[in-house]
Amino acid sequence: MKHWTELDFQNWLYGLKEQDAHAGECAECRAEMERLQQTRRRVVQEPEVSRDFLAAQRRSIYNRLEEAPRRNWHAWRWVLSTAMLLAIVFGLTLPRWHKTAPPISDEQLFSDLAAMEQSSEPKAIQPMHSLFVQ
Amino acid sequence: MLLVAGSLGAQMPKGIYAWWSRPEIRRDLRLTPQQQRQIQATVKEFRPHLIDIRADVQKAEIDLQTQFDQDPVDAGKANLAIDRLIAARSDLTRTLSELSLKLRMVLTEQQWQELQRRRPQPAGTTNELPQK
Repeated sequence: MKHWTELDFQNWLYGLKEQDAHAGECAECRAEMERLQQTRRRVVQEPEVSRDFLAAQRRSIYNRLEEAPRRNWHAWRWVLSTAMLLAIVFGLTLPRWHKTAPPISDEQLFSDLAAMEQSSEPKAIQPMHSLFVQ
Repeated sequence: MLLVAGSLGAQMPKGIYAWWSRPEIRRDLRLTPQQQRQIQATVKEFRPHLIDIRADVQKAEIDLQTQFDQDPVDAGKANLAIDRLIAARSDLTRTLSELSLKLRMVLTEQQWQELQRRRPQPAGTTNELPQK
């Protein structure tokens, strides 16, 4: 009698083919059926997970959930601190950048200019010049 | 060279002062509101440049003094400092003269005479103007 083909075994394994007379009598085919069945059982079997493993996993998840906001707060704290520091630095330096020369009145400005214009010699040569002036 | 520059400067209008800021002079000259506006506008126009010139002259004076204080003196650098000072002072004289001219053109002949009469004079001189 003819042995089962690979397709026959697959159909049988997934319930699409009934076990026929040959499969019941042929030791070779029965051995193959047994091997396939064990393999399938092993594949579909869910891995055994210990309670300890699950508990540890749960604790890990809870810990991460609790840490998340705290980590965010740490990050925000750094951002806020940096922003405040920058604001202080800018606050202190900006006025200097924009600081212009102190305002000078017309009286002072023109008094200075007149004095400059009326001085006949540079300050640097005054000591030298004074040697020749009685 | 500097003395020559100084003596040239002496021929330019001297003794400018902020007479337009003094209420008593404004009153005595009887400046009209329009004249006051023109004067203020003119001064405002010249002010930034005058402030720069003042700084230029001060800086040139300091540079020259620095060169004089060197030992040994670098004649080349000192002469450059002298040239810069002359240029700054020349710019000062030119700008003050231009400002004076613009202000004079705002005033009437009578106001100009009055302003001349009120100009502060060095000790030993008088405010009297030559008779026409």
